[in-house]
Amino acid sequence: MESRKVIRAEVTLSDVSLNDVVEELISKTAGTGAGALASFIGFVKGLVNGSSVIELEYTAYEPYASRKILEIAEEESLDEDVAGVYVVHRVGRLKPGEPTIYVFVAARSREKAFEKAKRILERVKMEVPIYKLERRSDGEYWVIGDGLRIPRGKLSDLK
Amino acid sequence: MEQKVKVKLFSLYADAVGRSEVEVLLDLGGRVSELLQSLIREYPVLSKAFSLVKPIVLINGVRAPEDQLITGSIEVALVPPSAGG
Repeated sequence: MESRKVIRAEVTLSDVSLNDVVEELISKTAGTGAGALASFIGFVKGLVNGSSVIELEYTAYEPYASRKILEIAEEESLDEDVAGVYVVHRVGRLKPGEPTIYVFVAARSREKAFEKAKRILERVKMEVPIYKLERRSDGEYWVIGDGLRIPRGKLSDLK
Repeated sequence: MEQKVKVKLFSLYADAVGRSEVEVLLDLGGRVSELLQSLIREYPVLSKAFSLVKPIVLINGVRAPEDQLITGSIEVALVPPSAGG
């Protein structure tokens, strides 16, 4: 299954030029009946549970992480009202304020663009093998799933 | 007969063991549940880590049920629930 609607879907180290993405999505979808572009950008929080965040370290299990992102983008773009999908998740060490995930959906209606952008975001968060360590002023935490935090020291103590 | 199985570790499991890849012995015809037991025998710290966070076994990147056979040239990984976003 390969969809021309998927403009880009992968894990990457680098950030993304928003103007370039918007221009590319619009130019590739305008002739297909699309008239809406929804975007979501996740970025690193500077404050979690009252503590300052120093950085997040993301690790992806490749090549499976990129494959899964592509699979999600392709599945969600099967909808005939979806005209274009761009989804990228960054890995490596990211500081507060730095973007972590970009989801763009061009569609025939604003409802569809928003709905699909949300659905793709949630699926990427849940299904793609990406893991993160949160370095904070009060210690280091493994972030598990959507918010559980395990202090890193707790595991060292187990040995 | 036993087989050697390489297991990639991620997140808190890699941290607990202190390595990102380990090798364990498993009976031929062993299943995912037996692989988890072998891992705990070899690295007892994983028992505590598993009780903190239930592990997921990925075979060739796909989540494997506990009764799945481990055989042939496959890639096995031990991971917690994904934390993307």
